[in-house]
Order: sequence, then structure tokens, then C-alpha cells
Amino acid sequence: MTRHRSARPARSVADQVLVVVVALCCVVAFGFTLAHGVVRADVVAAFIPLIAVGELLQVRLPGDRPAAPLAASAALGYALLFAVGGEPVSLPIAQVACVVAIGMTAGSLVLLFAGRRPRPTAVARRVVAAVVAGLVFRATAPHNLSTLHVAQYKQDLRWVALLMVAVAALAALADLALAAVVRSSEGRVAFGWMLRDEIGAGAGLWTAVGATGVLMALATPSMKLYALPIFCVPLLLTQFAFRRYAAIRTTYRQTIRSLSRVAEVGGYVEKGHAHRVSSLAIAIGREMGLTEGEITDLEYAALLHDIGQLSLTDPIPGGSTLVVAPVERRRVAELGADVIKTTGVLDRVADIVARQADPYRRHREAPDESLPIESRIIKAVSAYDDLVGDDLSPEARADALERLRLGMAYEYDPAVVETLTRIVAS
Amino acid sequence: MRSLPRRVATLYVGAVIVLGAAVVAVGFSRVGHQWSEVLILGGLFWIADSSPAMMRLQRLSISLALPIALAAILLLGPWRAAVVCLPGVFAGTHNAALVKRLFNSAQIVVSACAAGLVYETVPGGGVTVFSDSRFPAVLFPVVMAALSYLVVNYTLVALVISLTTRTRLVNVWVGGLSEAAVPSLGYGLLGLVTAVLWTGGVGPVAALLVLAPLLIARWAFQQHGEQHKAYEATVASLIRAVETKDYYTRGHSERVAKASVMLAEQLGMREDRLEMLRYAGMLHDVGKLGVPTKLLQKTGPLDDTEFAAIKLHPTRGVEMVNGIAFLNEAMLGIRHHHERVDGRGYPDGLAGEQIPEFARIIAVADAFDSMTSTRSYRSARSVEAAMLELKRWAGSQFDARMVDALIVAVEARGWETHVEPTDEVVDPAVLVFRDHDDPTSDPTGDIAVLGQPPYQRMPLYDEARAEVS
Repeated sequence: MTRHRSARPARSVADQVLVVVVALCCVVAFGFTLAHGVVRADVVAAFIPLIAVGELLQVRLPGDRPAAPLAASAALGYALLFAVGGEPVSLPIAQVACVVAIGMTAGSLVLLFAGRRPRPTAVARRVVAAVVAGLVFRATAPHNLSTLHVAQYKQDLRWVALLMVAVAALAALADLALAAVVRSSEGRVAFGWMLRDEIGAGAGLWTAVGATGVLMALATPSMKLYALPIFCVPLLLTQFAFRRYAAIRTTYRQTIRSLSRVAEVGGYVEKGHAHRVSSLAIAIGREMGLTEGEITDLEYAALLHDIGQLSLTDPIPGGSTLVVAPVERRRVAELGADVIKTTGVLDRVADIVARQADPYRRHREAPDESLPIESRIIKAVSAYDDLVGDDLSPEARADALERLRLGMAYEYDPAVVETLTRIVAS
Repeated sequence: MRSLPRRVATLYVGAVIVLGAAVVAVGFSRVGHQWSEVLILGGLFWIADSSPAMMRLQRLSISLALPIALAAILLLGPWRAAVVCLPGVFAGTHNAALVKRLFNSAQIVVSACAAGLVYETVPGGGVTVFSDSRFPAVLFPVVMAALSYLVVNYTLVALVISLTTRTRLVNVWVGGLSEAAVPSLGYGLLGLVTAVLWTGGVGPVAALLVLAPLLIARWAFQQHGEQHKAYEATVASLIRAVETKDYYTRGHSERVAKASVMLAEQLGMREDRLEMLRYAGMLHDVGKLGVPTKLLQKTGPLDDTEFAAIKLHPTRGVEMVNGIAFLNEAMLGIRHHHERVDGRGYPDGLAGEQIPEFARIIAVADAFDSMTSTRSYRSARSVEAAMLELKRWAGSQFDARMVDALIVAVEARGWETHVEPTDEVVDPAVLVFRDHDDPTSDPTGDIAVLGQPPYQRMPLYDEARAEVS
């Protein structure tokens, strides 16, 4: 059951196509650049290490989304570069693609040697974002930008700055849209939904990345390449803030996970029940296209769904909340929700836990619209885990699923049971 | 009547405010034709400075307005920069007292002016137009200016904190500066970029661009802060849920955490360790859940195997929380909080300095709270009586240094005893109770069984349940 933990499939088709297409384009660009000669090799020598180092400094956004803000900013800055220390610079887009790709690949190789998993899809997305920015900027920027000396168009610079901001926004959109395409091809969820989820998760960091990239391109004309280390510092600190944010989230999750075992160690619930239920619930949640926030709530609620047992003076024998009367089950749910509500910050989780015992619909009534999808998932998964118990044989699973299916029309949400069946079968 | 340090603090705050006002007055007289720049930068300063991200340190906050201040210093010089920093009075926490806001604003104004003067005097400094030929020579004075801003700023603030809370200046200064200086300096360099782009033709838009990463960073810091608060609340209430197993230990964990932190503050512990200690205090008894309920609730005497099972609770506690990666030092505190300095504690029989510092602290706080709380077999002892008991056991059960520190801390800051109203009548006469947290509940057993296997030499562990004689 533990393989449901990292509930995403290893590699989808869209994933592979993206990586291969980007790699092929970069190879072509590399050939083109070799044939036409490298423009400003000193600038290339400054950017490649910067991008490579940036690739090493990853940060994980909520929902296991890897990001490399420094690499992305440096790539964007290089794509928008038009002058260095007063001298105009005109970089062919093929060279931009090459430099970005080489820098990121170098960083990824170091990651691989350090025993960490490189993320080719994320790298491909960053390359595409930089190239999109470079192309759009070259098509829209004033033509004299890359030929005149900086002092000669000083008064145009503020418009160039605004144009760059718009271009950076496009680059961000390209990156997030690609992420949404890849993810929507994995599950069975509409692209639009995924795009909204990706934008919600990535827009914040991309604002910092975009602004920094633009500032890099704008500052190099007067600050020369000294601009690069100066920009590293603030962005690294933004990254530090994000990493701390990620760390406290991880701690939070680890703590909830640890404390969810309290009910088990206390002998109230069967060992490993909470953990198994949460793994399976997350897998179902992803499959059914829940957003990142909903997945987190689902995970916490699944981990804590039996915490109400602690408030009972006499634990229910065997721990299984399935074999006891619905009234008793509802009481455990409500007691648990009360405990969770006292935190003052997990109200939605409390709501999910409170309603985990509610039936999908009552006799001769339409399904209750207000019943959270997370509650329906936890109800089915918890029952399934109680029925299967320690028995890992296929018969026991089939048996448990059959019993859930019998209760499908009223007790359990048919969509949830179907997804559960599919996941257990795979 | 006010004590001397408080009067000194008031005088000091007044002096800083007067100094700030003087600097701003000079600044206004020199604004001249540059009022539009002053106005724009002042507005940006206000945006960046309002609701500064609160960092983990509760009393110091890092202001993201430093880059704007630095840009103002570079573009406008020390005096006009001071005027730019003036809107800080209107920013920040809205319900803070007027004096606090005045002081805060004054210390920023003074810091900015001082940094500006440094920038002008350092060789190579004083540049206000940043063309490409100025680099890299101009970097050194800029960094010096940013550094002096930070140092002046932290010194002024640390002084007032140390005067009002009577903590040692060095602790506040080092604690605050070490956590906030690097981020602040890093963000501060964006001020140079603002100045460069501003004079390079991009104009005020440059400042807006610079603000974007700052606002995002602030957002991330805020998210961290909120999540951190949520985390604390969650741990606290889950611990309370665990405590519902026993009416009489309700709130015990949180009070042990509080007493441990008070004690450690007295010892001058660093803030990041204090936080870890608080978690250790909160979670120190979580392993009791690993002890079978029937043992905890057993009313008769315990046999050897049962007692051995009960003594597993510190180890069980560590097993339960060792999935929480960041708690490393706290784990030691949880595991060893029943060790004794004379080496007769459990689970490992460590002695003296071998016992981790956290564990020695928690042991004292644990005993103190259990003695001053109502338990099923007795009413709460007075704080004074509990202190006497602690002193009596100092050197054998407890580390004498920790006992002294707790006594000083409680005498200085007071302690709210926890007295639960008893709704059931318990006749103490029929109870021979032994409480694992309470040193006084071990009348004879401690000595009588010397020479027996180590666990029998310990005070009997029980869980506020009575043993009928």
C-alpha cells in the first residue's frame, strides 16, 4: 500500500514527449550556434555557471512541485539581455536556448551525482519559458535596442521595462501551462482546472523570478556582469523564505502523521490504519482531481479521522469503526471534529472528520450536496481498510470491494468506490 | 514607583525620538527641488514597511523597507533619506502604542542618516549617478552603508529591548542580528539596483520592479509565520486531546513547556533552542499513550513487569515523535526527562552532565508543575512549598543549577498555580499514592529496595491513579 504514497505515476506520455521535443530542439540550436559562432563568450561564461548553480538550489512548492527560481531568473535575464556595460549585445535565440539548456543540464548532472533525482520535465519547462520570453521580446522590442549605445535610448528604457514585465508574465504562463498539460494527461482531470491549480501554486514564486530576470536584463547595461551576484543574494533569500515555508509545512505534516499514531499506540485503533487510509485517500483524491489545498485537508483529515476515539473512555474493541452502530461511529466522528476544531486553524479538516460517518444519500433522497468529497473518500477508504485488515490476499481485497459495492447506492459514493477499485486493481 | 532600569529606558526612548525629530527637521530644510523623488520613495517606503514580516523571533521583525531606505540614501543623501523614512510612523502594527511607533520611526530615521553619512565618508562613496564606469568601485561604499544601517538599527532596538525586559544586551543583539542581518543585507542590495536603474533611465518604475520580489518574500515569510502559529496551535490541542485520558493532568504538558522556557530564559538560552525546548516540554509525556490503558488505570499495586512497561513511556514518546525531523534536540529531552543527576533515573541511568540539558530542565519543570497542581489524591501545594521540595531534591534527583534557575525565574515573574476544582471526593487517608512526576510522593520505596534491579529503585510510576492500601 505504501506505493500510493507518491501518488503520481512515474512518467506520463506527455511528460516524455515534452522532454524529448525540447532536447531535440536544443540539439538543433546547438548545431546552429556552433555553425554561426558564439556571441559574447564572456557573457556566456558568466551565465552558464549561474544557471547551473541555480539548478542545484531547488525549492519544493506545495504539492511536490520542484522549482529552481535562481536558474529560471538567470535564464530569463539572459533571454532578455540587450546590452552589457553600455555595449549593445544581440544574442541569437538559438544561442539563448543552448546556454540555458547547457546550464540546466550541467546542474542536473551534478544533482544526479549527488544522488538526488533530477527533474527533466521541470528543466524542459524552464527552457521553454526562457525561449518563449526571448522570442516574444525579440519580436516586440524596439529595433535600435540591440544596436545603439545605452546612453542613446535612455528615455525609451521605461517602456522597455514595461515590455519586459509583460514578456516575463508570458514566460511564466508558458511554464505553468506546460505543467498543467503534463499533469492533466496523468490523471483524468480537465486542463483548465489544472492550469488554475498550477497558477495558484506557482504565481507567487514566478512573480519574484520574473521581476528578478527583468531587473537582471535592465541592470547589466550599467552594472555590467556585477549585476548577477547582486541579484543572486535577494533571490536566494526569497528562496530561503520559501524553503522555510516548505520546511514548516513538512514539519506540520510529519507532526500530524506522528500524532495520528497516538490513537493506535493507545490501543484504540489498529496499527497503521491511519497511515494506510491517508495514502489510499490521497491516491483517490489525485485521481479525482482535487486541488492541492483539498489534498492537504484530505490527508490531515484521513490521518486524524479516528482521533475522536481518544475521547471515549472505553475504546471500541478492535478499533474498527465499521462494525459498530452508526450512532457510535457518528459520535467518534463528532468527538474527533471537536478535538481538531480546538486548534482553531483546521476548521475544514474538522468539518471533513465530522461528516465522515454520514451516508452518501439517505433512502429516497438525492445525494447530499453539502457532504464534502473528502468525507466521502475517507468513509469508503476507512471501511475498505477495516474490511481488508492485515489480509493482503487478492481475495480479501475483492471481498472488501464487493462489500463496499453492495453499499454503494446509499452508504458510499459510487464515484469514489469506482476510483478505489481502479487504484487497488492497478 | 518606577525602578531604575525602567526610568533609564524611558529616558533612552525619549532621547532617540528627539534625535530622530532633529534629523528629520534638518532633512526637510534640505529637500529643495527634489521633493518629487522624496515623495515617491517615501510612498514606496510606506508600502514596504507596512506590516513587516514577523520573523520567528517574537520581538524583532525584519523590515523589507531597507532597500528603499538604501536607494534613498544613494540617490538623495543622508538628510533627505531620513525624510523618506518618516512614513514608517504610519506603517507597521496599527494598534501599537504611539510611543512605540515614534521610537521605531525615529530609530529608522537615525539609522538611515547614519548610513548616509558613512556612504559619504567612505572612500569612493558619495556617488549619486551610477553609470557603467562606476562599477565595481562603488560596491564597497554601498555595502558599508547597508551594514552601518543594520548595525545602528539593531543596536538602537536591542538597547530598548534589553532595558525593558532586563535580558542581556548581547543576547538580544546577537540573537536578532544573526537571524535578520543576512536576509536584510541581501534585500538591502536591491536598493543599489533601484538607484542604478532609477538614474539609468528606467525611473520610478525601477522601484516598483524591485518591490515585487520583496513583496513575494514578505508573503513567504508571512506564510511561514502563519503556518508556524497554526503548527503550535495544532500541537497544543492534540496534546490536550491526549491529556483527556486523565482529568488531573490536563494542561500539564503546556505548563511544563512554559516552566521549562522560563527556566531556560533565566539561563540565557538562545531563542531557537528555547523554541525546541518548548516543543520538548509539550511532548514530554506523549509516550504515556504507549502505555496500556489498563496499566495506567490499574488501582492495585504494580508487579515488576507492569512497572517495567510503565517506565517505557519516555522511550515510547521518542518513538512516536521521531518522524518529526526538526525535533532533534527535543528528542533527547523527551527520552531522558526521568533521569536523575545521581544516576538512578530511567531509561538509561545517566548521571550528572551526561543527562542532556533539555532533560535536566524538563525534569525540574515537570516536578514543579505536578507539585503545584491538584491531583486526585491531594490538593495543590503552594509554590513556596514546591520550591522547598525542589531544593531538597537538588543534587540527587535534580540538577541544582536548574532548580536555582527555576526558583529565580518564578520569583521574578510569578507562577499561576493550577488548581482544578475537585468534583469527586477523595479521602487522602486511604491513598498511598506515588506520582512519577512528584518527588515527594516517594516516601520510602526509594531506599528500601536498593540493590534490586535498577528500575525498582525508582519512585513508583503511576498516573494519578490511587493505590488502595
